[in-house]
Amino acid sequence: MLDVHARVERGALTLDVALRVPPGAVLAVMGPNGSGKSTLLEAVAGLVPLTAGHVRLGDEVLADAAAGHHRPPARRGLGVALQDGALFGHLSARENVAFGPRAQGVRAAAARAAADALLADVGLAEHARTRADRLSGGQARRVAVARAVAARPRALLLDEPFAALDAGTRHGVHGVVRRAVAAGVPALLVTHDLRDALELADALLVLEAGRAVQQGTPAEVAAAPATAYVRRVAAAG
Amino acid sequence: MSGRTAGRLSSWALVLAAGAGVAVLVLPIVALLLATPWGDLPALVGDPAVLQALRLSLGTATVATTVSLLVGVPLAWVLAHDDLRGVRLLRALVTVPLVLPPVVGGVALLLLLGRRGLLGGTLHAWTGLSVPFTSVAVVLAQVFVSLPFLVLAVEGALRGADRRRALAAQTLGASPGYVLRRVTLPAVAPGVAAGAALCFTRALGEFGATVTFAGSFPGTTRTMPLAVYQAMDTAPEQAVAMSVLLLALSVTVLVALRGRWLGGLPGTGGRPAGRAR
Amino acid sequence: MTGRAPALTAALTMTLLGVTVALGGCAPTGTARAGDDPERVEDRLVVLAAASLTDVVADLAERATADHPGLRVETTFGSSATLAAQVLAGAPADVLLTASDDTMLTVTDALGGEPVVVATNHLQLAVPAGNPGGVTSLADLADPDLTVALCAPQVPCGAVAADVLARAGVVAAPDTLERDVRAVLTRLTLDEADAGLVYRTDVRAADGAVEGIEVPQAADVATEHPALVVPGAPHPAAAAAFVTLLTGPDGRRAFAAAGFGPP
Repeated sequence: MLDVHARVERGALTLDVALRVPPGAVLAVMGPNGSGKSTLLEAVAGLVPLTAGHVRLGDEVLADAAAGHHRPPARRGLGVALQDGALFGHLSARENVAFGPRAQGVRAAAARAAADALLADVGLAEHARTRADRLSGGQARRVAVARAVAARPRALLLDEPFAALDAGTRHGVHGVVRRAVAAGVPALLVTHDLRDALELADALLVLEAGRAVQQGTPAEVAAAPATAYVRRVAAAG
Repeated sequence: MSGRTAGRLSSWALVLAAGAGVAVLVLPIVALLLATPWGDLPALVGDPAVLQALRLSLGTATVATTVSLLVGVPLAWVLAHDDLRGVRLLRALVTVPLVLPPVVGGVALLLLLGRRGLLGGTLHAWTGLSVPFTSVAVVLAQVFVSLPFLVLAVEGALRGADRRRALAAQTLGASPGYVLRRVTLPAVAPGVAAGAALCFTRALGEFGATVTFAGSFPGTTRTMPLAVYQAMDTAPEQAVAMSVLLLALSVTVLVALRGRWLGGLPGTGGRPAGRAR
Repeated sequence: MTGRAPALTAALTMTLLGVTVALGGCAPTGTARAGDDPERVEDRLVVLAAASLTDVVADLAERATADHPGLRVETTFGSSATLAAQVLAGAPADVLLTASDDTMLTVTDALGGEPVVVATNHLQLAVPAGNPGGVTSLADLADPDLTVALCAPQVPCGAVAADVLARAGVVAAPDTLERDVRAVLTRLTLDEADAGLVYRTDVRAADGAVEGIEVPQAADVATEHPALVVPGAPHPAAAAAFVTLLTGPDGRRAFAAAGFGPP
């Protein structure tokens, strides 16, 4: 269970949100620009300190502002795929995806085979050998998702992984996330497209100006939009 | 003066000034190439004295570059971490040999490692060994002047390497050593290579510190620049031939760098080597 | 206004460049006409002298300035070969003093002129004060364990040294071959070398920092120091007056005091 109460003061934005994601469930987070979606992911990942609140994963306390506890991002065991990708430019897509398993001791051949399979799922089979710094933005994002999933994390944090993908590719990436989650991993998924939430997520959280304005299953939220933004998004989906 | 006329005048003035700058840099090289006895060049360059100086130069410059890499890369790593205390002072110290006249560097080395030097005196008293007049002295002189080039170039490359990547690697479960080996070092490798190339060329061309500290003896300490200096009065064609050879070596290194400039090096102002993404 | 500032800066830069080029190209000429008044010389004199003549020529230059108020003497010291090459390349020198007849010959062959020998010199075995290497004779120069500094064979003192060593039948094992004799002297004064061959006058000039050891073979090889009024010199009257000073009684006294032999 991923249990988060995050209060983060960052510039003009004050984020104050509480959420719980059971193992094997996907929580989608939506909201207009500047609502704090990315900040939320960064706070859970440990890239941004909490002003107040906590982050708990299962029995472990990853962060507790009151106790002054903050486990560094490197030791949280989370699979993170942020918007800028942060791929290893000098390595191929395949080597990027295989990086986590290999770092954890999996033999190179097995890791690469698994990487190839994941890349095929996200529709990048023919780019397996391409250097990461030569991939397009969308391709890099897909590789980042595959890389995060391949490392067998204890929770998945994905920021807009489906942006600008066509239907077929989107379906492939959905599958990757679904399979990873099915292994009992909770996932936090930031998206701007309600369709992703409807297809993939068990719950949807809508953020506006740093606060939750609506929560529920995606279907519930779509059927009864609470704010103008949600109404707009529901109409577009 | 109308705006348009002023504009045209300033463009012309700019072109003239730029042209003068190019002339100052290029014309001496042109003069050198024109004065070269191209027909006799193979014979002149094949002269045993020239080959001996060339071998010595290449050998010492290679050793100096290796030493600089071993010492300079860790130093650059330290400099790239602003959060460590005293980094700014350290960087100033590292930059000193860059602005010091090489002859002064030679004098300083002599005062340190000469027979009556700070350390050299003790060394000589205990072991009878003396550093001046040996090839070791040549390497030391070259390291003194070219190490800062390498350190600043590598520091630039390390800064260019996005720390988020190291962080991403750690979130994937990699130990810091693994991250260093498979992420950080490969990312900065092109920058390090460029720094090493610059270091090599500077070591190759080193004169003032070498002649003051190491002396000048064929085969041991008379590197190419010293040999040119020696030959200037008594065998000018040989001096010209060696100069052309040195020029060719330097240009080769330049071409090998292929415009991949060194971020952080004072005066070059280029992007760090390798693409930032 | 934006158009003017860059233009002005560029114009200023060009002017500065132009002035520098012009200054570099021209050798300033004396204002006095030497032909009018035989006693009056130009206000400037440029003397190029071999390294071993450093102190004595500096002294005599001061004497010349004292004798001719308003005269400014500029001296440059270095390897005879370098100075000769500079004169041949057109350096604005009035008087050239070398440490060998051969080097002077390269200049007179090309430019003409009549050199005059102003002093002679002999080599001496030199060691740092206190003789840390325990050197006693020329044969010690062949000792590989000693640090030996010699002039490069292509320069005058190196040629003379080679002659002396050959006469003594010694094959030296030098550790460095310097470009001029003062560089060898410096190695000795800094105690970086155990022994070297320099001129007797250099040992004298080192004023105790270096000790000299007489070598019989060196006495047989005399080095002549010829002086030349450079043909086409910018200040011929001053040059002639200076050479006269060198060969006159004052000059002889100065050379003798410094340890040179008579011409």
